[in-house]
Parts: sequence; structure tokens; C-alpha cells
Amino acid sequence: MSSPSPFWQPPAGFIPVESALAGVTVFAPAPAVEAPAAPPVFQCPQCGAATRYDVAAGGVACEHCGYTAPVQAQTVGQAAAQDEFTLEALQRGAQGWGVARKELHCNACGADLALAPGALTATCPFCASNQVTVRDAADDRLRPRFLIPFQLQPDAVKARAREWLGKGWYHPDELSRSALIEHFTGVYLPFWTFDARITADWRAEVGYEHQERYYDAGSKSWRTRTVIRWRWETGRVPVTVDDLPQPGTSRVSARLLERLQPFDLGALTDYTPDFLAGWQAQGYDVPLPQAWEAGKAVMRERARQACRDDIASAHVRNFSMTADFADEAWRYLLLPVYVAAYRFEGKVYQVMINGQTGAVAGQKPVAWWKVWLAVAALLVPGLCAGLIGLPLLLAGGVGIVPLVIGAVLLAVGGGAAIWLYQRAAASEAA
Amino acid sequence: MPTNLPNSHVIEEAQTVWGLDLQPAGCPACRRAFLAEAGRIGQPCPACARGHLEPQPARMRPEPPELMLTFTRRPADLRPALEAFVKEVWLRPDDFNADSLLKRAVPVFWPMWLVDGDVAGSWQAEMGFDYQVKSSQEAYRGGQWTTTELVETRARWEPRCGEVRRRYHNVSVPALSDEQALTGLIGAYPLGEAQPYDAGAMRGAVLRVPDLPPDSAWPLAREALDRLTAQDCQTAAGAQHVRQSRLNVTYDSLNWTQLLLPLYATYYTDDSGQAQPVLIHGRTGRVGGRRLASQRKGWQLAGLLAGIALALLAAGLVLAGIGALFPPLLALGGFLVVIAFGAGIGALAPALWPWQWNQRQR
Repeated sequence: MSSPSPFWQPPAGFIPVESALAGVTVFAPAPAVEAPAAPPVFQCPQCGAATRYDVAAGGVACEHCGYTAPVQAQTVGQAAAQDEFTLEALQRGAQGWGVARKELHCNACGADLALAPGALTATCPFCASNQVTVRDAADDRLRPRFLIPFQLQPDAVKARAREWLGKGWYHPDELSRSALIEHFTGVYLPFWTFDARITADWRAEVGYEHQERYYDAGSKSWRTRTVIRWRWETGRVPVTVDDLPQPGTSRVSARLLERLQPFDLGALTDYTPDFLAGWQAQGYDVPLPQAWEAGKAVMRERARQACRDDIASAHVRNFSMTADFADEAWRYLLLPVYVAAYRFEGKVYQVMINGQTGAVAGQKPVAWWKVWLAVAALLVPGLCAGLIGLPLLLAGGVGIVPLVIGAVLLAVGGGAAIWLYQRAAASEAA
Repeated sequence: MPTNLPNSHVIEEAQTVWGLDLQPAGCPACRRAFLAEAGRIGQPCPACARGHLEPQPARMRPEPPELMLTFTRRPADLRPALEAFVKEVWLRPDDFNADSLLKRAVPVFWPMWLVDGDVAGSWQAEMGFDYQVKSSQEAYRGGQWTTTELVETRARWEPRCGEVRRRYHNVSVPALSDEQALTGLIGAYPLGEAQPYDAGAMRGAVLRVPDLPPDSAWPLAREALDRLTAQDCQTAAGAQHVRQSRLNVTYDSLNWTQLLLPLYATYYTDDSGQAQPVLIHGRTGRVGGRRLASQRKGWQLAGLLAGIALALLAAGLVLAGIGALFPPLLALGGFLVVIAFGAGIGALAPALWPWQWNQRQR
């Protein structure tokens, strides 16, 4: 490396880099500065009180003196830059978050939460445990480059939760009356999004129905029957997958997270630590390769479905296919979720609210006596009709009619009972 | 264009040039200039073989060449290559044979410029850096997915710029206007094996005089130097690819010398009595030149076959006529007519093949 001569100056923003050959200097664009020199201080410049990101104001605000300042970040939407699956990206750790971070570690469930300096909390939002400790965060993870800021105000969260808790007749009545969820924590949860262009080539034996006439020796007449003629076919289907989200956390129920979606990625904004002021954020504990494997499994199933849809017949056998992935890309995002855990009769239940759309997903205890009562009510008509019809049939009367009615009612009631049971079980399950 | 390009001198008559007693000569047919020993005057031109060398002034650089490649093939070693070269032509002129070509082979050295120069200035380009990405191919068979991982190499393009100050030595630049045609015929030379000029290795050889003096060869030299500079910038940046390269450089302290390359020149005469030059690489023995077939021989053979066909046809018709009286001869007559037609059609081949072959050669 050497300095440029007075007769030539490198373009603005170019810096000297190492040259592999004497007599030739090399200048390259200066890399974007990833981390600020000093951790930002979330302190009001007017009164010195702690500031936090205010959803209503859309900026950093001081609750004490009313000072507000807009966050300097650009909304990039789905045009947000993506990364390729370079060996380097898959192998490397992270460049840190751009903020000297403390981490809140829950000794009960193992969750790690990023905290802005000085922030402390005594309750884990995922499991309602108070066995939490604050420790230095490991700096070996990828840094999020984009997030969706909270758009749902914290004040509106409790009302939504209460309304949601009151829904459904098979939950305990105390659920809607009591103030079980006192505190929601706004957490930025880690998500990966994946893109890929898939070329799917399929090969299968496809059956086509044909009508053919044949002579039935039994009835001594010509009849028509349907036969399937099989032939090998091939096809190619292009499948494009855009922004497939995969959770980057294993601390939250994947099922609940799925029910919270979709997020509007059109609101993606450049990451800046200001959005985290007064809020919490969780780093990913599902690493990129693991999340990509899960995403790929979803994508290849979509490709398989697209291939099946490409086949013009419902009769398919010996189906095989290949899916060539190309232009694979990923993003690491933080998405806004309000998280709360509440205890009911000694059990812990999790509730989450989409911090952008307000969609609610969570676990609710089930008053199983109500469910069993409903199941019984659904089955009793059929059983009763059967009980009436059976002796009548044995007596040689018209018992066949109530017996058939009973069987139909039993089938319908049984189906409804199973559906009801599954819903109740799902409502309680994580 | 640099203002300090060296001038050429005119050599009027025989004198000691580069340690040898050489006579400037030229070919009135192709207007190419040579330096040859006095005994070569009056012999066929090694370049075109159509004119004969005549004494004439030659314009050239007086300094001896800096480097040369010597002959590694002796004339006796050339026979197998020449026989293979000749054998591929079916109906060849009488004079087109290995013996004649070998007998007329003349050792010739032809020149290239070697340019030294300082380059200074700035450069900018888009440099491509290879990186690897992981991709995969998923296969579904029998209800199971199997994954094949693939690693692809892609290029990331980034702008780079900088300054360059380097000196280049012995950048080879054409000194002959037909340099491309020459190397196209007999192939490239291993320039890295060049040795310092040795007058002893030149004895008996004819020397081609550059017909591109430095001022005419400068655009080619500039192009070669630019290419080298761009390559060096790419090397300096550690890039694997380069595009949209732009140089803003000046070349200074230029030094022009010569590199001599060996070949054998020989010729044969075609049907029309015109000489056709054949060149042989002095290092690899590769032979190049137009191989013309003899149309005259083709007509002769075609005429012979046509005559035979006519005779057979006549005999066949006579036998067929007699066959009306003596039926067994009818079959023989028919057979002869068929053979006659076969021979007639076969006569087309020697008539057409030389024409088609010569078209390809041209």
C-alpha cells in the first residue's frame, strides 16, 4: 500500500487496500461501518431520564418531559437486501449487534433476551419465571439488518388479550373475569426469511380413465366400464418462493408463531438500535443452516405439490421428482411480538400478540368438564335412537327406522365430538 | 504516440550486419525484404516462392537482435511431417512430394519486436472475486427426499482503482504485417525459450526484414502493453476476473529490439506451374501451406474411366443385340451395360474431387 501521487486522487469513499504486486496501488470502496464506536445512550437530552421507542410517536421519546426524536431509519420493505448462502456466511459467527449488549437469561426455560444497557426485568416473558439473571451477551452471532417496528401500542394489548381470553365457551369462566395477564413484554423475535427459485422436474405414471364396452357373460349383455390406462409422463415446473419466514427462536411455540403470521414485510426498516430502546429483543438460537433446512423442507413440499398440480389426472403412481434450487437467499429480521405468560391453576400458558397486525395466538386452559358434557350431548341422541330401535327390530317391528336414524346421529355426533376435542386440546397445547 | 520511437536505417548494399555478411534483397513479386548471403540472390523468394530474390535496399534497425529461437528440427527430421502433409492429397501435382519440398527447404528467420517500456498512470476496473455458495438438489423417490449438496462458484464484482508504475521487458509485438497468417499456418512459438542472439546460429539462413517499423507497430505494442498492465492491475487486486478496465497511462523509455523466430520455407509447383509456398515450424516441425490437388490429373483419370465406361457400354449393347439370337449373351450384355454405368458414374469422382478440395484450400 502507498499513498496516491499528487496527480491522481482516488474517488471519494475509496480507501487503499493491500496490493499483491509492487508498483500497482489498489483502492476499493470503504466498507460500510457496521458498529458504532460507542454504545448509544438511551437518555433524554433534555432531562436525562431514560428514553424508549414510542410506538405512537414513531420515535424515541421521554415519558418524563415529553421530548421526542424520530428514528433515523429507512423503510425498505421487501426490497431489503438479501444474502446468499456463501460458505463464509454459513460458517462465520456474527459481527455483533452494533450495541454493547447485556443479556437476560432465564434459568427456568433457558431463553436469552437482549436488553438495552441499564434495562432490567425480573420476569421471563416466555415462562413467567422470576429466576432470571443478567449477563454479557455472546458476540458470535449474525447481526440483524432489518426489523419491523412495533405498530400496536402497548395500551391496546391488554384489551385485545382480555377480549381473546373471553372467547370460547369451553374455557373456564374465571378466565375472562380475572386479570390474569398483567404485563405484556414487547419483544423483537428473530426470524429468517428465505427466497429460492426451484426448477422441479417430475416423472410419473399417469392414469387416464377410459370407458370401454365389454360383454358380461353373467347377464348376457353388453355393458360399459371405466378402465385406467397408464403411461409415463414427465414435466417441468418452475416454482418461486419469496420471503418464506422461519422462526429463529426455539423458546416460543412454533405453532403459536405460525398462527401470529403473516407479518407485512413491506414495513421492513433498516435496523437501528433506537428501535430497541426500552424494548427487548431475542437473539436467534436456531442457527441459519438449521432454519434453512426447515425452510427447504417447506419449499420442496411446495415444489412437490406444484408438480402434482401439473399432472392432468388424479391417478398417479411411481411419482418421482428432482428439485434444483437456485438463487437461494436469506435475511435475518427482527419482528415485533408482545409476549406474556400467565399461570392458571398452577400451569403456565403463553400468549403472543403480533406487534404489527394485532393478531393474537396463545394457549388457553380448557374446562374439560364442559367439553365432556358437550361430547356426551352430541353422542346421546344417536345412542338413544339405537337403544329404541334395537328391541323393536328384535321384536320384528319397525325398529330398522330408528336404528338407521340412530346410526346416522351417532356418526354425525361422533365426528363433531372428535372435532370439538381436537380444538379444545389444540387450544391448550403449546 | 510516443515521440521517441527509434528510426530505421537504410542498408543499400552487402555489408556486415549483426556479425554476418549479408546482402539486402527483395522479392519483386511480393515486395518483401530480406537479408541473405550473397549466394541466395536469384533463388526463389522464401515468402511467396513466385519471384526471385534481387538485390535492393532494405530499411531496418541496425542493432543486432536481442533474442532468438534456434532451429531444433534439422531438415532430415522434416521428412515424416512432410510425407504426412503430402499424403492427405489424393490427386496431387507431380511436384508436390516430400522429396521436392525437402530439397527446396530454406532456413528462414522472421522477426518480432521486443519492446521494453515504463508505464505510469491510473487505472480503474470492475474486478470479479470468486466466492462459493452452497446450493442443493433435492430428489423425491419412493416417498423419501434425498439431498445432494452442491457448491457453486460465483463472482462478486466490485470497483477498484489505483495507480500503476511499472517497467515491462521484452513485450513481443508483431514486426511483420503477415505475422498472424504465419502463426496461423504453423503455430505459435515458445517465446519463453528464447536465447541471446548468436550470429553463428544464423549462418546459411535468410532473414525477413520487418515491414512494420516501430512507428507502424506502436498501436500493436500499445495494445500489448495495455493488456499486460490490465493483467497486473488484476493481479494486484487479487481478482479472478476483470471487466470494464480503463487505463489512463503513458509509456516512456521505450526500447525496441528484435526477436528472431525460425522456420523452413519451401515450395512446390501446381498444375499451372505456379509456385505454392509451404512453411515448416523450426521448433515443432508443423507444416502449413495450401495443398492444391491436380485438376489435370483428375480430368485424366476421369477421361480414362469414361473411356472404359463407353467401351463397356458399346460391348454390352453389341452383346445384347446378339443376345436376341443367342439368349445367354443377353445377360452378359446387360451386365456389361450396368458395369459401364458404374464406371461412368465413378468417372465423376476424379473430375469433381480436385475442384472441391481446392475450393476448401482457398
